[in-house]
Amino acid sequence: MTDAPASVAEDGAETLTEALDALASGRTTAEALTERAIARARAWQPQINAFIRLDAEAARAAARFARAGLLAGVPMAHKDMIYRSGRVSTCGSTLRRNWVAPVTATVLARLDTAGAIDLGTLNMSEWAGGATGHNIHFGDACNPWNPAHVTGGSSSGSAAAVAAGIVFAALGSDTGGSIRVPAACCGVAGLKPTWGRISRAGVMPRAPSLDVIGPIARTVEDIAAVLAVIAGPDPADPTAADVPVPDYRAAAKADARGMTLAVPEGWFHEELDTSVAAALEAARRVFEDLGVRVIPVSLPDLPALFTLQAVVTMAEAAALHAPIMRSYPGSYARGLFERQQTALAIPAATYLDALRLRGPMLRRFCAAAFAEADALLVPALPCEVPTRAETDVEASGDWGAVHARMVRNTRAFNYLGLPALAVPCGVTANGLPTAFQLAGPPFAEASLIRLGCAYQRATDWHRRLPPLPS
Amino acid sequence: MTGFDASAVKAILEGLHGVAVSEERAAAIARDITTLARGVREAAKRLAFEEEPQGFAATLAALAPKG
Repeated sequence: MTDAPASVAEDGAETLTEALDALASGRTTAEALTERAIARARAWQPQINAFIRLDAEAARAAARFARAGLLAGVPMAHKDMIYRSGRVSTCGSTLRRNWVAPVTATVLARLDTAGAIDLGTLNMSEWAGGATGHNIHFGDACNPWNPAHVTGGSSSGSAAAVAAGIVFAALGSDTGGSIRVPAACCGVAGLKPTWGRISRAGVMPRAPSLDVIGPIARTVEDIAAVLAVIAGPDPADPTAADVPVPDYRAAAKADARGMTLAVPEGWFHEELDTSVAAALEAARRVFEDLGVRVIPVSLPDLPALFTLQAVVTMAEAAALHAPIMRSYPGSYARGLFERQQTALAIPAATYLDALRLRGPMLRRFCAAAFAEADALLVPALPCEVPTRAETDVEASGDWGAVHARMVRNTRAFNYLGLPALAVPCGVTANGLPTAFQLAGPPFAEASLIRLGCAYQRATDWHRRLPPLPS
Repeated sequence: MTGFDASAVKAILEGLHGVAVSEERAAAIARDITTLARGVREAAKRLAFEEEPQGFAATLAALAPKG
């Protein structure tokens, strides 16, 4: 079905789950995995610019003592807006080039406790405010499958580093698609969890009513392993929900037979490129072969949800950035500055109505979407992965159109707070990956993992690796 | 009915927020805000007077899988 992996490690560990098996069986060590990750990071960096900071010596030191925990000895790295006390966190802007984080994010503390190795900080869109991965401050992150193409954003370095096989998993953030869009562009899996499923304490805010933190990894099984460590309530984050955390790793092993997927009509298919549509149709047939019932569904309010998400994101981001916009207006990429400038004029009543509508919209959407289905099956990106040149909004100026197309299929789930999982499902005409999205009811991440893992057991798109640069 | 206009945008951005804006940008912002605000107003026609913005988290939790 797919090309053979272009480069495979001698220990056979190309996924997080395989790495844990290799560590448990003694076929490899945390030190060996860390050295491999450092070597790959250095080999890939000139081509894909995934890292803002590579902490090789700190990673080596951590690897020497990584002996216990659910992720003991697994090299990871994270979007450069997830704080570690005493470390610079740029948030993708040179304005924070020397800003030292005063706290460690709860998610990093939980990964530390689980024994994961932190290799450093990853490139991202400026202030998490772009969907392509362009960055005027630190240079664009580039797609490992073809560096002329975008990684997607804003968790650009996270997806690129995982797709290149540098780290086994990486954390990103998602306000309008910032985990799922880059995961789809780079051919890896990415989970936007339910709003409140994972603590955001110690993470740069973009639009707090919508922001979530989530994992990007090669496989959905790997996503489950990371989610099991970081999910759950947190006294440091009052928005982290006190909802029971199910056994995600057990869900990853479960059969999907008898589950139901709903395929919505309309919105998600209106601007779909032909080869994306073909990949989605092939994925639907795989699910049917797995014994999953696939039914059509009509969903309410999608154009309105797109607008409502924009109002909330823009207003909240503008409020956070207004002091910086006054003091350092020249520090922003033009497109981001202009979007935030627009948002400063959003009336308070409009913003508050957009928030007040969330509850009713969520009830209405869930009643329609999940009355008979466990999850929705929709395309993650409507288009083939574009080139960096054709989406360079600093050159073309058409920021709104580029951004709107990239996040067309992801934004609604942020507004509704619903979990959504991007899973690679093919290669389009331009040779770049494409992905579908599974979206479920609130806190139904286990169902998405069950479906995603069943799909990956039947396919091998997730096994592909771009060739390591010579 | 008239839309939001460039002079109103300039007054809000420069007079209230202290962020400079050109006439051309202010006109573009006025158009964008008018579209967004009308979109929200249309969606809000169904909104109950008593609906609170803080109710969303509880709605999410209430819709979580049981058991």
